[in-house]
This record gives sequence, structure tokens and C-alpha cells, in this order.
Amino acid sequence: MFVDARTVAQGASIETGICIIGAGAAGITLARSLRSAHVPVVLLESGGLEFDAATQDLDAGLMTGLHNYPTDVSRLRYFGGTTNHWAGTSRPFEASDFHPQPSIPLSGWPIALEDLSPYYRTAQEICQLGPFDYSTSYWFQKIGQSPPAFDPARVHPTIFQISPPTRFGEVYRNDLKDEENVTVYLNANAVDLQAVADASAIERIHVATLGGPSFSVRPKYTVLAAGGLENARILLLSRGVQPNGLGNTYDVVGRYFMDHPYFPAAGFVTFATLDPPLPLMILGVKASPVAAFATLANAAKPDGTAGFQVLIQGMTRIITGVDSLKTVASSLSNLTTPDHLWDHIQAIIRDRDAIADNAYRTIMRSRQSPFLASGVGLPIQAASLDVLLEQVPNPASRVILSKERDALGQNRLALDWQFTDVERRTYQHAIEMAALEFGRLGLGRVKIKPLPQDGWPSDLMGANHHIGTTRMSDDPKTGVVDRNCRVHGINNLYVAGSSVFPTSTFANPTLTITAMSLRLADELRKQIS
Amino acid sequence: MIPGRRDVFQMLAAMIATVAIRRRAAAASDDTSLVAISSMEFVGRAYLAEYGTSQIIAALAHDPALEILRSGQSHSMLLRRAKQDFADGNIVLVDGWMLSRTEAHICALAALQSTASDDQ
Repeated sequence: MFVDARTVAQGASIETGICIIGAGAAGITLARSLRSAHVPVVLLESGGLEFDAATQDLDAGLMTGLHNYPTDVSRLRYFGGTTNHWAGTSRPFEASDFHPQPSIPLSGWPIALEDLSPYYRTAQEICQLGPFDYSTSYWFQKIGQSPPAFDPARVHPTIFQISPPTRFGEVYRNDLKDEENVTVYLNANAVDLQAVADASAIERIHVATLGGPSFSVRPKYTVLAAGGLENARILLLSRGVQPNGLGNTYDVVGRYFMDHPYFPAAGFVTFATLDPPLPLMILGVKASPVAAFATLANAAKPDGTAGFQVLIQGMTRIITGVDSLKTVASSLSNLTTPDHLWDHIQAIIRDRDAIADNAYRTIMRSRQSPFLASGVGLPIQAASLDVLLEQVPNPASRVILSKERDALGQNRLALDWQFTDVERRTYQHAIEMAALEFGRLGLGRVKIKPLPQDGWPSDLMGANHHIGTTRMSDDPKTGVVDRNCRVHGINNLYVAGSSVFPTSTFANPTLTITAMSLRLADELRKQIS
Repeated sequence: MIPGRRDVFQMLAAMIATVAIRRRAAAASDDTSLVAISSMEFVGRAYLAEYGTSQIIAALAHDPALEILRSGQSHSMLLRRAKQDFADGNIVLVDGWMLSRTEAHICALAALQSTASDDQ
């Protein structure tokens, strides 16, 4: 059933078996799975059933590291959580993702793929995906085509499936609405986890509403499922017994923040033939005929590098005028003349419609403009190669509390996203492997965009995958939760979501978040019984 | 022996394909943005500038690809050789483009021939 927390009596105390904080992919999966546990479940959701700007503002934070990473845009704070703008891209992790990589500190998981495999098939159904088959043979056979013979020691096509995408808050709303055993409190913000004196257990969760009452929940078990940033923030804010935050004896909470660094147009390939033979692999204007697509992923990981994907964004036009305009403008502003000035002027004149299109969309903040045709139906003649990296664990990349306060008086988070040399090497390795294979197979030639000597390109993006801030490790000095997702040293506090992933892999996290949540539900059932 | 100008330019069509220049595509979309790279001489000049003319001339003298070129053997041999370069990692970066060393050498030769012709 659903209850608006603003209607709860001020100071009320609600007893329950399990309290789940956060109703996104993890929280909703847990609540649905625990319906059969014969124990009352409370699900606290900060937002309502629809987007609300005042609630969303609670997610606003500061950026102190790489890239302007707006923390109130990369996630959503209402029922269904960030699945409300999920793109649906899905792929399970591979066995090797769980293995330690000797040259990468803190790589590897305390669990193996076999521990998660039983849950992936159910997660696949929950995420409304196709058959649980991610083999290239299955998908290329399905479309009756074969991929080029990439050297498997360099790169290989890797399948991703596409969910409708599942909006968990819409698709599974009625399941919880009609369930007497589960009470969903909307507009209910968990602001403090109150532990017993020796911090060995949570005894009370303080809940606040915007402009309304505050009350508390007294659960036997608590699961933090508020997302990769907020899970850490709530632990850091819970300072009643442990001044540095709960579960933070070794200063690990909030550290090891990872996303998937995304480099658009890391390479540019001109193809030797129109519509090159890259089935399932040309993205953009050549949409997949089935609910799957392929990227080029790493084969082995040479020492000191991590995983990667190269995404091939097909182009029906080769446009250089926009870059030429930028180059000329930059040179003129420095009172110099660019090299190949005449070539640039020709490109600007030729691509004037693309320049107008670019300017219109920038000024009008529009996805479309009247100046440039979409290119749908035209042959592919080139492609932008986007690179997505696995980020490696880095203690300097972290979520901390800022001094700024939100509307509930809570410290806003500050995100310091940082990379290491591994990301730099992996970027170089990724684009080189792709370029070598395009050449070897006679597909075309690649122009590589080098990284700046210092720092990172201005168009670097994140994938809005918040990973690692309450990472899993058997050692409390290097992890916040144990292999069962229980916070080290706190008997009845668990964490769900990608914040427990100790490594990021190159795959999108939602399917694995769902599988891990099912596994955690099993663990809680065991504890209850 | 350095191949003659005619030998070099006989190879242009084949190598244009090799460096993936789609003139037909460019024409279809009224796009000639890759004319710069489609010019063997342009690529060759960039290669010479980035890696040093004297070093490349020295390397050219020992490149078996130029013997293939001089003897007028099939273009496909050179294309195979270019693919093998990519398989072996025998590549160079010219103005950011990853090229096989074989095709880079032929581009350099085109640039050198063009320069010599201009000087005459």
C-alpha cells in the first residue's frame, strides 16, 4: 500500500521487519522479492509518484573534481528512482569481471559470477529484456549476418540488450500498491540512521518530509538502496554514534567513486565502402533491427589497463566545418593564423548548414533544427568512435559532505571524480586497438583524437553510473560491506545498488543491480528465518 | 631504386581506396571534406614533416613495397601488405590518422615526386 508520509503523525514511531530506503531498481526489486517473506516491509521513497522540483533539489551537490557532473540531473528522486530516465542498455558481467587483475589495485570481487548467476535470469525478466543470451553467435544468427573477423586478441563484438526501458515505478507500482505486507511511504526522506551505543546495530531511522511532519521507523533490518551517491551520503550524515559516519571506521565510505568515463568522438573512421559490413554495430541513424546492439570491447587487458567499449556512431555525412570554424575562431582570438586556412574556409562554406544547425540547437536548446536533414536512409560513409572506459578503484575519487545545506538542513554532497593513469592508458589502448583492426580488415582508416597532455578533454562525460562508494570487500579496511552486502560491524544494516560494486567493469549496471538485489533478498530471508 | 613518377601515380587509385577515401560518398553528399586527406601528397607531406624527410627517404630505400611499386606488380599485393602492417602493428600516425607504414611510405613518395616536379 502507498502512504503519503506528510500525513503521518508528527513524532510517530513505525515498527517494521525490514526498512528499505530508496525506491529505485534496487529498492523496488527488494520490496517485491520480500513480499513472500512474511515480515512487514517499509519502503521509504524521498519523492512522490511524479517528478517534483523541490524534492529533486535535495540531490543537488557540488563538483570539485573532473567534469561538470550535475548530481541532481544524473539521478531522479521519485518513485522508480533513476529508472525513470534509464536508457535500458543491459548486459550481465562476465566471469573475468569478478577476478582480481594483478596490475590493478583492489580489483576483483569477493564473490564470483556463480554467486550471481542464479539471479541474472530473473533480473533479465524484471528488466523486460529478451532471452538471457548475450552470445554474439545467437544475435548475429538472429539477423542472418556475421560480424567481420576481428582479432579476438584485440577487440571483439559484444552484445548489449535494450530494455523497453523498464520504468520500475510504473511497471511494478501495482504490485506494491496491492500488497498488504509492504508499505511504501512517499515523500519520506531518511535523514539519519540512529545506531545503538556501540554502533553494532541500527535501532531507528529518522524520517523527514519537506514542510511536513518528521517521524521514525524502527526496523529489525535496514537496507540502504538510495543510489550510488546517496547511500554514501546517508552513512556520512549518520554521525550520532560514529562521528565520521556509520560504517566508516576506516574512512572508506564515499571513496572509490567510479563511473564509466565516456569520450565522444575519440576517433573518426572513414569507411572503405558505403554501408560497411558491421551488422548490429553501427549505431545512430542505422538503428538495430532487433532489441540489441554490439560494441567493440576489450579482449585481454594488458597490464595497467582496464576494460573498454568502442561504440561506432554511424554518419551519413562527413562534417568538418564546425571544427574548422572553432579552429579558425580560436586562432584568430590568439591573433594567429591557423595551418591550412584555405582548407578550413572551404570546409566552413561547404558545411554552412551544419554550422547553422549546431548554432540553432545550442541557442534554442533544441534537439532538432530546420537546417540539417537527419540523414536517415542515406548510406553510412563514416563514423565517430566513442570510447567508454571501465574506471578502476581510486580512493581519491570520492563523495564527501559539503558545508552547504539542503532544504532539510542536511549537508549536500560534494563529488570529487578523479582518474588515474590507468584510464589514460586504457583510452589510448582502446582507440588504437580499434584503429588497428579497422585497418587490418580493410574497413577503413581511423583518425585518433589524442588526450590533452595534462588533464582530460572538455567533452568528457560520465554515464551516470554511480559505483563503488560503499564497495564490497572481505576486509573492512578496503570495503564498507561484506560479501553479503552487510555493512562491516553493523549487524542489521545492508546496502543495495551499484555502490557495493567493488569494480565498475564496462557493462551498464542496472541488470546487475537487479540481480544483486534478488541475491540480497535471499540473504535477508535467511536472516529472518 | 626510387620508382618513377608514373609508377607512383599509377598507385594513387588503389591507395586512395586503402586510405578509405570515399570520393563517391563525398560526391553523393556534396561533401569534399576529405579531399585533404585524399591527397596522397598531402598525407605524404604531413608524414615527412612529422617524421623528418631524411629519415623517411632512408627508410624508403629499404622498403620492399617500393620494389613492388616499381615492378608494376598488382595493387592487391600492396593492399595485402598494408593489411599485414596493421596486423603486425607496423603503423604510423600522420596528422592523427593511423596508417600502415607501407601506405605512408607511398604517400611520402608521392609528396617527394610532386616536390621534385615543382622544382623542375
